[in-house]
Amino acid sequence: MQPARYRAQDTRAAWLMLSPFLVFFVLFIAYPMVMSLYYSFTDYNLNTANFVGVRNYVRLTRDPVFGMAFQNTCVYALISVSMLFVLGFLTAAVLNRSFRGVAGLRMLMLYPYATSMTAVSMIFLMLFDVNSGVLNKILRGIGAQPSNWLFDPGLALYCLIFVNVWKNIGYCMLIYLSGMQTIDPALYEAATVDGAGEGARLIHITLPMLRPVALFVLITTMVDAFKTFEQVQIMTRGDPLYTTTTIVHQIYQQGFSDFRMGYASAMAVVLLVVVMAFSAVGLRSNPSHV
Amino acid sequence: MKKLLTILVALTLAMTLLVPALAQGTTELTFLRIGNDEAERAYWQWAIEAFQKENPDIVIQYDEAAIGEPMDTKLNTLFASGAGPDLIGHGILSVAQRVNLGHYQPIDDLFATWEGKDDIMPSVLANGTYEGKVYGLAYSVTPYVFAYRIDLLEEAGIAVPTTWEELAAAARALTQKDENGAVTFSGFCYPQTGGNLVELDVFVYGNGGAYLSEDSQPVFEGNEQIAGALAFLKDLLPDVNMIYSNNEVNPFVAGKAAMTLINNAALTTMINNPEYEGKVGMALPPNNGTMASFCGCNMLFIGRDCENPEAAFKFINFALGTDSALKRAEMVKIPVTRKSLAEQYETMDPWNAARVACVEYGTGMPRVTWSTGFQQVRNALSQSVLFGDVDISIEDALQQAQKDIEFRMEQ
Amino acid sequence: MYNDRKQSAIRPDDRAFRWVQRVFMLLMALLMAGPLVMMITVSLQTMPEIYAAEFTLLPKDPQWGNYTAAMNNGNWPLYFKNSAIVSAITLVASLFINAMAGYVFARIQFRFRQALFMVVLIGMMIPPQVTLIPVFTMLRSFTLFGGRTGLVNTYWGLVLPYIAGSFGVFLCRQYYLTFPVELDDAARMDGCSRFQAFRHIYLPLSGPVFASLAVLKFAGTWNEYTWPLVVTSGERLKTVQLALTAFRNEGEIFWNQLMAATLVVEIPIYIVFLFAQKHFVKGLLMGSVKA
Repeated sequence: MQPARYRAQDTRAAWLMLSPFLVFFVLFIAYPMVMSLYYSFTDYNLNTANFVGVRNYVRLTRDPVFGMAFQNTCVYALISVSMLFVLGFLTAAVLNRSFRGVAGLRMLMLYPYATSMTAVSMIFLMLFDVNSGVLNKILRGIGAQPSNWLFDPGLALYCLIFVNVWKNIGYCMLIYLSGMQTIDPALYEAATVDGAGEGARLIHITLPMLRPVALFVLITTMVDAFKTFEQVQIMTRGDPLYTTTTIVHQIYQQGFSDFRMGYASAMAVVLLVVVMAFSAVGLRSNPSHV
Repeated sequence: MKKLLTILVALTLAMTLLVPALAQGTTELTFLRIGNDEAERAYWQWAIEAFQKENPDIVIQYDEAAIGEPMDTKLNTLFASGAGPDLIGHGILSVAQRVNLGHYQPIDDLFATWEGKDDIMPSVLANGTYEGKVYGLAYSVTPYVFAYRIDLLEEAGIAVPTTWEELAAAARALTQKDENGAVTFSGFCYPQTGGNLVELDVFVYGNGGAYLSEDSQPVFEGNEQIAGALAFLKDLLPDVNMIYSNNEVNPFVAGKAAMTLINNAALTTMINNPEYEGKVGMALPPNNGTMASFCGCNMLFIGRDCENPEAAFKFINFALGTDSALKRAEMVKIPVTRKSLAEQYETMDPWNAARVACVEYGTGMPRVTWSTGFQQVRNALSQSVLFGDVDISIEDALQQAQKDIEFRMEQ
Repeated sequence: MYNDRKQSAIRPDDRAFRWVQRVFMLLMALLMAGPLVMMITVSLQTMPEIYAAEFTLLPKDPQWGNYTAAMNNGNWPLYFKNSAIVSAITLVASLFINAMAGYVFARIQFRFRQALFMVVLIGMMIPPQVTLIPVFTMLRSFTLFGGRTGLVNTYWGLVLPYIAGSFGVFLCRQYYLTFPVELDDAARMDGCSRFQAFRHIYLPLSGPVFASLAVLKFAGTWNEYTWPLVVTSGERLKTVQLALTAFRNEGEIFWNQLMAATLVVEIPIYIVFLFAQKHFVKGLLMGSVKA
């Protein structure tokens, strides 16, 4: 407990030092969010806004397209996050040593993350093209049946998920790597002396020590997955038949295309609540982290 | 660190203040156009330069945004914050909604004094009119044409189809498949997905049908003409089609299809390609009794926030004047919108007659406030019936479409 | 860096495990490299070749002209300049501000700290579509600086919304939490204020986390599309991501030029990442491990 006489001085210093950040935060993040909350109770159509109570929220429950978007987003987030969680860890484990070319390999894993989502979407749009895309060309070349990829209602969403995982593996690997650096080598040495093989060391030492890092990866990849929009807009626009539309895509669609900004704001609020809920669940499992 | 920061801040401030100050007495107009194709851009840059030479007291800031997300996001953000552009180039889809929201200024007074008011094609003028008032004047019409490979049809000894039966026969004859039965060369290609699946509209109108009733209510359920069009396509497409999205390259343009329905503008690169010289033909789409096509229309509107509508209209007057229109037809290969120029236009290019026919018999997007909802529902209808992985009966699909559009029309 | 060459390589389990790792890594490397290779290949092909039915790994006849054609389509030096300026200013401004905020949350006890930090975290979860209109409207009203249209269509308009970053604050906080508390105690004994402690002790030691943040922020701003689209008009302030849309329009996508341009646009970011890799690892290390 800080002595009382430091409190006032500290509080002053704290607010003073926070002020530049807070100014920008309030102006560009908090204020829009509050406006959004307000709009969600109106029929704002980019022109006028009249209070309509919870009508937008009720409409959300009856909207089949939003239902699909919600479902798609959850599936997308769940699968993306699980795969990134595991693959990021595995690649970090393998690349957590020094040998010739490890920096090159790490860079290879990382460059997708450095590339803009727009560029990545265009690249995969080209690869997935049914008639002249590379993937189908290869399939035809080896005599296999070409796939419809992004035009296949059952497959399109998974193609998008694949692209998301592809893009973000490097980021997860990086975070795990940095976590692995803090593990005391002495622990490994002791385990080796006790006769533990590499695999055993990985499972019994590395994994448990990485819990806080893993949580960070979990939360950031999940928040990112829930905000998916650009990818959908460029690669499929929600087609075929709404199987790839996401919540943010619907927010754009309803807000900017159909002029139902009030309704779109309600969606944004729902999105926020859902993301917060999932984050809370994640954080609950590791309370010391926050 | 701080020093660097200060220097950077000072530098940037200086840079932003270097924005050229407006000279006293010049009017500045902002112009936002939908679409980002090169040919049109070149034309507008020419037009703006020529106009500014004649009118040195008016400066026009030109900007463009691709169809779809970029244009919608940008335009709506601008309007929502009260900063709408003075001149807007947009399509039919936008008319009803934006007039309702007050984004477009009515220009009846200015139109009444316009020299071209009797010369503009009536159907084209109708596109820019809503509830009796004139809002937009068309600078370009974008007809969908029936495009075919002259060489391939000749080789197979097939005449250019004009009815649905002829189309089906020709398409089947020209399709090539591989051992697995997959289509490697399409006889007639039709998009599975896309931003706006107007191809279905062509068939519906060609069957004498319509999506809206007399009082602008949607009539999907039980609509026999729509059902007929869907049935025809459902029967034909699995045998002849290649999968594509009409946001991307049409297989016809890529040289992988014999016939298709395509936006006139999208054919330009193919026509200019020496490899396809003399091989690309255009005609009115084959129909089932009613001559029809889809014809979009891009118009110039004056925005709500424009403080100087007279100056803005001066530019509209210039851009739609006979000289500019002809220059445009030449540069961009898009049909004229003025009656007096129609004949001259037809002589400029052998295929212009076909283009004009598609304009004449073409219908555009419905001018209702729920047009974007309509677009979504119609797209879903086309996809679920023709390409759905769940086999759905056409009546059920139409019923579903009716339900969907009514939900979207709700307030 | 943990080096396991110390232990004897005799264990057969480990040998097998090593091979599993090698195979795994090979697969991953192929997966990552594949699209990049295709990107380069396509950028050097002609359009007919791209549409052809056969699969070609390497271009038959490399069309280096695609790159010059792509770069001639528009005023690319201007676009690069704009992107560079915006990204550089954003990162410089945000680094200091976010680090300071991170320090406050890490080291200073004050009322509402926990709640305020929660709010900051929530800021990370908001999609940009939601903030577009309010932010634009607000920027427009700053008429003091820009005249009739406020900060719209100015460099500041492009920079300001990105300065406050919850992610940056989060990372810095975690990083500073790993510093021994004794440092602050010592500083206080010497009569330093909190700010002085930050400036003289924490700031100089922030190299690693700054490197990571700088790289992430620079890349993030360089790769931004939606906001520049809305806040700029015309050519003067166009950024590289906006310029990429020139290769894609109604009915035709010029894949070869698009891939060429994309590569040219992203290479600066790859270079930045490459150089910062060393510091990256150290910086993120501190940011994510401890609570």
